[in-house]
Amino acid sequence: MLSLNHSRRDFLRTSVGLAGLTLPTYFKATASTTAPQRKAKSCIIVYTWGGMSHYESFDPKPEAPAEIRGEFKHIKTATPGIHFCEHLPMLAKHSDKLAIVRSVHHKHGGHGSAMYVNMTGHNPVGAKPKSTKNWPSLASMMSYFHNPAAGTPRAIRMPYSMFDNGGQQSGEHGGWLGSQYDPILVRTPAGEPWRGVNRYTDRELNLKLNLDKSRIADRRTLLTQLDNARSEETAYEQLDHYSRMAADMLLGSPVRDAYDLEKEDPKIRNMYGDHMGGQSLLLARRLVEAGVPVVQTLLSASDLAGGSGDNWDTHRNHFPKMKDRLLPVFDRSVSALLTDLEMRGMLEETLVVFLTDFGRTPKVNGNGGRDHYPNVYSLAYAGGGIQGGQVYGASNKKGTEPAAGACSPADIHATAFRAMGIDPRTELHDQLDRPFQLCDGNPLPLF
Amino acid sequence: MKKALIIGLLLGVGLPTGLAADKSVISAIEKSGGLVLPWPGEQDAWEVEFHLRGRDLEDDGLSAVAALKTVVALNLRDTKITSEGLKHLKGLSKLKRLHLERTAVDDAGVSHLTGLENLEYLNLYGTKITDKALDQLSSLKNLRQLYVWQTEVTDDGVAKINKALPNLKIVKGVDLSKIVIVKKEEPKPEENLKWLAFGGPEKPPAKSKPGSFLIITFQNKSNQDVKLYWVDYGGGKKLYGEISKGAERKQNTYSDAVWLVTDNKDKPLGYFVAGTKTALAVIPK
Repeated sequence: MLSLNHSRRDFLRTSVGLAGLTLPTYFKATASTTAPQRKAKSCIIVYTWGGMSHYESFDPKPEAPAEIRGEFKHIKTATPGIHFCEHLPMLAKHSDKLAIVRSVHHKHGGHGSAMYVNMTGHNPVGAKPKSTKNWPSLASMMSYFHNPAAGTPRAIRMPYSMFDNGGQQSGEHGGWLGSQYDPILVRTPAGEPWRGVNRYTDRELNLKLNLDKSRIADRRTLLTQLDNARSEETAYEQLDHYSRMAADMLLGSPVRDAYDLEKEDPKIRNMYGDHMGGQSLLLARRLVEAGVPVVQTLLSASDLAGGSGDNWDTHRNHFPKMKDRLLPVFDRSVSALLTDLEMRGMLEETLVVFLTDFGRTPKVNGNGGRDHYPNVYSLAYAGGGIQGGQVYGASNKKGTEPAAGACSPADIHATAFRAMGIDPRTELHDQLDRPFQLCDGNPLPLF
Repeated sequence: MKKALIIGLLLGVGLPTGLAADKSVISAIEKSGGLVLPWPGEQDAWEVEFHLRGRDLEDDGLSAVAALKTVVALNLRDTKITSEGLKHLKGLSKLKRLHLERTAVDDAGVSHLTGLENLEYLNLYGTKITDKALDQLSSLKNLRQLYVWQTEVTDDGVAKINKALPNLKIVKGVDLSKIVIVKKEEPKPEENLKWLAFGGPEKPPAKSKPGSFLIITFQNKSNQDVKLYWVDYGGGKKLYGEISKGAERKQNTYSDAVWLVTDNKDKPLGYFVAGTKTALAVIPK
């Protein structure tokens, strides 16, 4: 039934839900190298920290035994043949905009390593979060290829950094590109906060909007003088990066206006939901609209804190937590984002990438939870020239391993780079001028 | 290179002067705040953007754009152009993508676009256009995407142009008037927290522990203004605010959090320890 003469999309259609089929070589052979006609101008990365269950999101398994299938049902989406978890009813209506990848896998069972591999596309090196030994994050790498006007940061992330039991995790910074490529951390200024432990220890941009402009201008002059005098001090340069950015932004750039959510139509704000998750994605749209090339949004509490609080590390009470706290915010905020981007005519120029640590274990454990599971999980894209209404790859009948189109986080990155018009094989240099190849994955044929 | 060009001109050699001409044209566009980018995959094809840094662009400024005949994409979002200015675009026969959203353009402006045969993408959201504009656009056979959210365009108008252009995707967006803003009720206090007077028999934990989210309403019934500190996870004090005499403060917190109340000279008065429920914390006389 399968032949190489089949068109790629036909194959993908028929492979949805197909079990027991492993054809990674097929996909490698056909991974199209044709670039999309246009490149996306900006990217919004949506990260669900802790590891979002593939069963209770994009890859429900209605035919699996009850102890694997779990408590939730599946629902039809706007795309025939594609089903989501029943608690994503709004997002199901946007399946025509989504490309779901159901066959991602890696080998890292811990949050830190798994986040690192998803964020950087490379294996962790065991360095501290801000170390230049680390690989740069996806946001940081993408931002390298943009040089927006003064006052517009290359990349912004919000509303906080990822922690596990008090320890900040590596994978969100500029790594060997240098701290000037650290995505700039800003707080989301509105919305019901994520319950749990939220930590603000990173240096973040102070975007208080009522500061006296002349004072800032003075400070900036001072800064320039200091800069000239002491340009070789690395620590000082780091400080300078933030301070100059803050000053530029406050001195009247579109970014400052974008940050002020009070300027948004209250009905649009309401569409995103009165939660920090929704308001973060709204802010992401506003920042992209103002010319910020890359925005990374954490849809989760900051610290996994042993699985307590609103994060996706659902070792206990998985089903109530997903149903009551996590999926409703995800469903509403992401649906609003896709609606909003579409009706403003921004969707094809804006790539949306959904990332998470890993999936969750097939068998529900004794605490009504699911544990870490990197053997197979689901990720997704929307916009940016990627065709919606498709599923790439498949997990097997029980959702325990890839059955078709097995792919890695590096392939996920390569696809995102391709959408942004960036050659994944680009060679970049660290601050000691050592060469690094951006990404060793292969773009998935989703365009 | 400049020298070579001048010599070439002097000699009357048929140089490819297109590039040189474009350079002055491009710098004219850049002077009016536009950004000129090469269009990927095509020679001598350009994308021109005013929507980020060139928002002061007015109708006259569009004549500079008109001089660059090979514009493929033009973004005029949020600029000060009006319908009158669009007459400058008539000669841009290669134009495929045009952003006019959130400008003062109306039906009269759209009438200047009817000759742009290669137009594939037209964004008119947030403009003053009506169904009349759609009638005029029906002649654009290559049009594939049309954005008309927040305009006067009606469902009938959309149906009509869709009949003429069946391959056209028209995005009308959500009807904001149908969105009802629901204000969530704030949770009411379910318990009263116990006041642990400083130096009293009952001591609070030395530091807060991470827990689940809840709200505590602090009521200052003492006869002085007080300060409210959170005792953090390391036992340190973090000032959260001041509560005037007789006032109250709603505070987001987490279960097992320790809150210290002091007078306005930082002399400790007492503690509250958050439970697991929304609570009232009365600072006594």
